[in-house]
Amino acid sequence: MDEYQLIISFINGDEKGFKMIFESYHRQLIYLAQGIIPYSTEIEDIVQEAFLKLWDRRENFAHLDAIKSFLYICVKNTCLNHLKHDKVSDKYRSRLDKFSDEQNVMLKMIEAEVLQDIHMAIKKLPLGCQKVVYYGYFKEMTNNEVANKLNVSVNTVKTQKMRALKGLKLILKDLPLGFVLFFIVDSI
Amino acid sequence: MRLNTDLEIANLISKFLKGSIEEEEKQQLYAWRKEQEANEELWRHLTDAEYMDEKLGQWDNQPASDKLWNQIAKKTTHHIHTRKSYPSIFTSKFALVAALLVIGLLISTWFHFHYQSYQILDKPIAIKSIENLSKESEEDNAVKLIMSNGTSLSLKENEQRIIIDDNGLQIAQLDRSLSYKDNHSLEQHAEAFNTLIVPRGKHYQLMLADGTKVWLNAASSIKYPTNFQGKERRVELQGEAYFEVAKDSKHPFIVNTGKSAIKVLGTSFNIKAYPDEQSDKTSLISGSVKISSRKSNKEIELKPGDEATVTLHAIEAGQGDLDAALAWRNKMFIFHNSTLDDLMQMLSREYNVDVVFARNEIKEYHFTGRIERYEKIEPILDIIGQTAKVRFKLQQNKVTVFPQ
Repeated sequence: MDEYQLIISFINGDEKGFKMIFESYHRQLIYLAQGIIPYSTEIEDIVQEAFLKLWDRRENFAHLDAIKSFLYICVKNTCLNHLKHDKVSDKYRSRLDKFSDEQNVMLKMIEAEVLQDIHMAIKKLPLGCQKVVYYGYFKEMTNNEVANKLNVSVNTVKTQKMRALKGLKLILKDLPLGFVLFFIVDSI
Repeated sequence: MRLNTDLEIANLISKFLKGSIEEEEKQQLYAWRKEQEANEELWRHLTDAEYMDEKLGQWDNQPASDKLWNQIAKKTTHHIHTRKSYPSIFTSKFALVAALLVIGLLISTWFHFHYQSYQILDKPIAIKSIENLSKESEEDNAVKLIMSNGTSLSLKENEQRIIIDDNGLQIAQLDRSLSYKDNHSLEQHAEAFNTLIVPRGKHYQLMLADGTKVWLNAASSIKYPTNFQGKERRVELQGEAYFEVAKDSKHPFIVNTGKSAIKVLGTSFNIKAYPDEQSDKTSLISGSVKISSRKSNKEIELKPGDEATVTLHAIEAGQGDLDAALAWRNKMFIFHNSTLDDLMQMLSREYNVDVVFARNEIKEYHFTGRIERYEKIEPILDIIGQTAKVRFKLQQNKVTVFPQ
């Protein structure tokens, strides 16, 4: 479904469109809420409320960006309100100071967006690839270690890594030299 | 709140991590990093394998997500709408134009009907036969698309597919809408036309090749080119439709109806042009239109908020009641001193029923009021029956109107 079709589906009250929107954005919203009020037990309710508000106004939206902004603003405002109305103890006061400043909310949002994006990019890889990416890049295991862990041959691990690189190039700091070489080899 | 620029930064960081960032974007990112220490710190986190590993490991929690979704779905898509108010602001790509919208209604459910008079005219107006477009659409009363070569296709609801016509044109069908935009068609030498037929009881939405959006009311049909090629963009309408015309000052958009021709540049308006009614009515929401009668050469220009009534012989323009004209888009019916005959005709199209009056005189009862568009006709007949001196008998698809 492209963006236009998704919006039409959503505006028409179709569950499929709405669910796709939920899928695309709810994790970031939860992350943002957790960032502002980590001690709260109401995070799910807050995110739920944002989606309900969105649903109520669905005919007003023509773009995904507008939907995304709306959801973020809803969640942000509700969380900041919670922060203000909760008993002012030291930990809350410092949090309030930290997050009343728009900047920090923004940073949380940026982080959330990036995490979701990378998460989706990895998810798009075939499952075998995903596992290799996880163990090989994030856990920084050697090819041999990964082969043992997944019970496959070393060749398979190498092949999967090549595939992963085609789909997703992760350039992360502090990777062992072997990985850097890997990247260089690939780009020739 | 600089929401957009910040989301843009997130996009750049992702591109960097995926190795698809361009040189210029790298500069933008670098500038952002140097703006403040907090930015640089975030950068360090997001480019650190251990940090990302930890965060991504906790990112997905399917059972929690499913639970949250179920709670939301229960209160929204699974909820049978007995909601009483529908927001009616239609934002779109032409948001600037839409901002001029006179409509800012939040319509409440209360409904009051009071008939101002029931006048018996000297010449009772005969029952108008409703152009039964549904007769062309077979028993199942489906929306139909007629292609340039004459073949006809039923468009069912909840259907999603790409239709490929005889010219290789791709038409995107999604639920109750059809889109010709991005159709990747081959170059055609002449404009090819499609016709969309919406029978009684149905509504449909169309996006034309130039991006113009059209919402069609029940018992309506529209003929349009699959690709606009001439100096003008011409479509033919029978029935009622709401247009949001894509701006293109080099190619005026023209709507022809049985009685009138409406010329627009880039604008939002509603046209009501049922062939079985005496006049066409065009209501302008934003932008500007020029209307001419097809028989005479008289032409008038409307400004937002105006309404033009065109009969075969005359055009009249004046302040419009946009509320009433656009009520159908807001899932409402609004009447100002309308006759019961008009009212029943509207219900006939909307709910796909045939209407018979037991006595001609009662057709002239007048009504003013507004009522929500219910899923079925029964509640509406109930309400009318309670307030006016009429009663109804509903048998399958036929409504008989009796005086009380």
